[in-house]
Amino acid sequence: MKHISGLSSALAISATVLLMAGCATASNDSAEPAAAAGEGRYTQQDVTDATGIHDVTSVFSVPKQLPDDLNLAYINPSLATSFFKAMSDGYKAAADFYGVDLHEADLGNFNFADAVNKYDTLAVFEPEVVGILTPSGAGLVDRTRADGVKLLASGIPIEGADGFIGTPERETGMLAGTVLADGVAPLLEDEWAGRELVFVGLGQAAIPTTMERVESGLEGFEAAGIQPASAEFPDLGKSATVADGTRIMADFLTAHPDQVLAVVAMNDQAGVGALQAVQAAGRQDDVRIVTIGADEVGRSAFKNDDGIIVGEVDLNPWGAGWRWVEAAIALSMDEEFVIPAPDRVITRDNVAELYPED
Amino acid sequence: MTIDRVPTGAPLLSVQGISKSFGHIQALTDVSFDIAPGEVLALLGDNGAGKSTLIKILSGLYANDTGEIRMRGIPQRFHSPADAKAAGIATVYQDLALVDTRDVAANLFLGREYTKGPFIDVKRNVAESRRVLEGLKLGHLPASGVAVGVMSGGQRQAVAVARTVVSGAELIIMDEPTAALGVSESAKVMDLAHELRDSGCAVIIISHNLQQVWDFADRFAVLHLGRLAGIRRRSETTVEEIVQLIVYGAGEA
Amino acid sequence: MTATTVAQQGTPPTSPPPKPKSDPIDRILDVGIYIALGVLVIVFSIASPYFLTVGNLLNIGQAVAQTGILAAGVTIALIAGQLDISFGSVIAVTAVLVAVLTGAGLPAAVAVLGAVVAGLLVGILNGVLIVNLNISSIISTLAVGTAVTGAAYLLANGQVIPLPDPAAFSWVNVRVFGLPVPMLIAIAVYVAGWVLLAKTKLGAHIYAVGGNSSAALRAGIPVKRIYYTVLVISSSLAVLAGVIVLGRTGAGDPSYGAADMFTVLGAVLLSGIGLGGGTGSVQRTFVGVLIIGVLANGLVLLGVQSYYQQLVNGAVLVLAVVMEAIRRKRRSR
Ligand SMILES: Nc1ncnc2c1ncn2[C@@H]1O[C@H](COP(=O)(O)OP(=O)(O)O)[C@@H](O)[C@H]1O
Ligand SMILES: [Mg+2]
Repeated sequence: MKHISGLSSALAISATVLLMAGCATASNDSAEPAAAAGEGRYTQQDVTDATGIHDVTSVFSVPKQLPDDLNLAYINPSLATSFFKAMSDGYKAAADFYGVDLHEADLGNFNFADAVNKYDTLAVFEPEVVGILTPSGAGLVDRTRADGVKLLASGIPIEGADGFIGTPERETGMLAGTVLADGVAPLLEDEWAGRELVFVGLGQAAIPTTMERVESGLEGFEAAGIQPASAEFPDLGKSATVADGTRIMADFLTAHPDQVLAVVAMNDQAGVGALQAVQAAGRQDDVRIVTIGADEVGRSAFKNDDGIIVGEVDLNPWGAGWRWVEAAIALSMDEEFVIPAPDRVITRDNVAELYPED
Repeated sequence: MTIDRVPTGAPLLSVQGISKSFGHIQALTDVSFDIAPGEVLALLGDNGAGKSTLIKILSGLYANDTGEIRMRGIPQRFHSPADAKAAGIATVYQDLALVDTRDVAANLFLGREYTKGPFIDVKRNVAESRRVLEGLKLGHLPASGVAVGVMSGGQRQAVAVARTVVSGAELIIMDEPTAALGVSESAKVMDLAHELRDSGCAVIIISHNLQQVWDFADRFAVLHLGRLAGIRRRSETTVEEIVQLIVYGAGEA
Repeated sequence: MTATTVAQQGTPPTSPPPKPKSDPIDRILDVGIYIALGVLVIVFSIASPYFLTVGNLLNIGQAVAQTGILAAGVTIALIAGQLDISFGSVIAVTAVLVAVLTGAGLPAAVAVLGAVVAGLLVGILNGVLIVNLNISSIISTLAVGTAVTGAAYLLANGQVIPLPDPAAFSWVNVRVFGLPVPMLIAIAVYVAGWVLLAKTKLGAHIYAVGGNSSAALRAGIPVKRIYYTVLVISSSLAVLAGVIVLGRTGAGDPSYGAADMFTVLGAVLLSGIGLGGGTGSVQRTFVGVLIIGVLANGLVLLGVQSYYQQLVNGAVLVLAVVMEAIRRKRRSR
């Protein structure tokens, strides 16, 4: 695992593991696959070798011998979004590697109302475990239970589901806030000295997990010893696209002509959108941004960002997809898996090293 | 509708001293004429002579300033097209007012369909349509299954005319029915006017083309600058005289 | 003269939807959707062993129920000449309103009644803009739809609201004689829609108003009342679809319905109904709905990447629009 230097608090946070009902884990002191990495199982080293640049920390040590007909299904919220596309590539690669069947459906542009129908379609393959990211999964709980299929929620917990794997929002947000504080601290001594500092969290009010993420950003920011004059959380709305980020940030900049802004964006899209608004408004000197995700959209922003984006918390979507497969296999075997907190931050300095193929 | 019957031979429609102005434009001045059942009257005149204004008054779209309209001797006051319709006057405008996407039966009984409760009595509508069509020697038109929009201009005109029969009209006014039609189609419309006449209706055909109506009309009423320049029986006039009336009015004739 | 002189001759007087019989190209356009559906079914049957299973066909039936119910309402309004695109917002407000009201302790039936009232109000509001203020239907329903979606977000406070008692709506997931309830509801809607349009006086007047509103008015048909009627039918069916979505997902989400725009309008346009009014039928729309549903299902079964799915869906829509353009051009000759 790689950490950027000077982020001791981030390390502390990364050691924290969120425990979710239904898939509790025994230990969190090691990132090694939990329990019995014996002969018949793949080791972390195997996974590291197999995932290469994506550098996946395994959440479950998968047996080399799996039932022949182990069959998984994943309902992707939006393959047109680079984060979820990377995730899709990740779970497909894992399915390949571990030798399990995986069928995928796409909700198009986050059409959550269609989730149950898509589940029905995939159900003809008789999967053991089905995964989905949705803020409204109650109906799926009933449907999967009726079919005897296990529901492994992904990214957003679903009440009553058989399991959950995702980024612990609080730790993720706090890491982002810490990174932001590190980026802003030198400015406060210098150009920003004496100016009114506003913390801005860009999340979707409709999706509580995203709000938890950006609110934790403020927590991490303050924990690092910086006290903003105020904190605001403008709502990105229904979606969190680059366009949404631009639109919301443009208005925000207009409303805050004299302030300096420290921004945590819930995803790369919103952060890059905010960056574009800042550039359009010529406010490069007044704003610093940390995004969460580090997918292609976020990483490529470093190439032309005027130094505004100080870092991106690497949610490693590809790795998240991979790990969903490991967790699903664990769930199918009624075994436990570990939910790791994010620990890697992408900066303009390390982006080329970490993602050389970009 | 109830129309009080009077002894035949009396005029069906009697127009007395009708005048109409739009602001300072005097569109009609003191126009009077009668029309009997079973008669085809051609209403002629140059552009702007007042033909459209006259039929709009007869069909209830405009109110006349002075004068009186009687149907079968009974004075009428039309406040709307519905009043004129109720009095037995139906007008076929140039736009025909057909629903192009529907078939003949649907158009003939538009707004007055035979029903069984909330349901359309399709059989009866089609049968009645056939009856009306045959009565007008239009039996070749398909009563159902073909949208009138794909029919020829003459056939569409025929459907629009047949609808006035369904509505029970006794006086049928056709506004420039042949304006958009070729020679043979125009002739068919004129034949249709004869069928209407033979079934006892009176027909007023508006035209500015004397050629087309010459052989078919029983009488010619000519408007000139809003005045009735003359009214002639075909047997008692010549094309030249009518043309004179159209072009120069009564004074020069 | 008596009817006997004529009624006996010729073909039996059943009145199929009038169409030009003479022209081969028109006929190809007319049967095109049936051919397209047939081809899709054959291709997917060959390509995936799962496609032609009873379970999967029922899945398609279940999945298209919602689109289908919406498309039926849009079709009826469009035949009268009004393009109603507010249906997505009605789904959102229905789902949220019922979730909020049941959350406040009201019985499910009362909450649904509240949604029905909301749906009626949307239909009436559309009517006021279109009929009384003479604003085009697409603009009116877009405006009303946007406002109603906003109201749904406000009502939900931007959140997804889980049903406190999903069991009250679990009938949506029940199967009767092996058939999913939403599918049965959709079938009932289509039968009713067919009877309404093809058999009743109101249906005849809907076609007449859409085909030539001024002629209908002059024939004494209450044109304005018909506009209101179809708009209320359309919004009421959207309420029905909203209740089904709510039952399926177990939560009221104000973003519901946003994605239905493509599928519903796609299905309706595929039917060849055109935007002019006066033509179309729910039967043909049903075929359009099936095409969209079969495509969505088959492409998932084949594991086709969703980019291609979107590409295919877009191509289908383009095809529908091109077919309509050809039709219109031929008609206007
Ligand atoms: N609605 C109207 N307002 C003002 N003037 C009118 C109107 N309708 C007709 N006119 C005038 O009345 C005269 C008679 O017109 P019209 O009845 O249309 O003649 P025609 O049909 O014989 O061509 C013309 O001078 C015309 O300009
Ligand atoms: Mg005229």
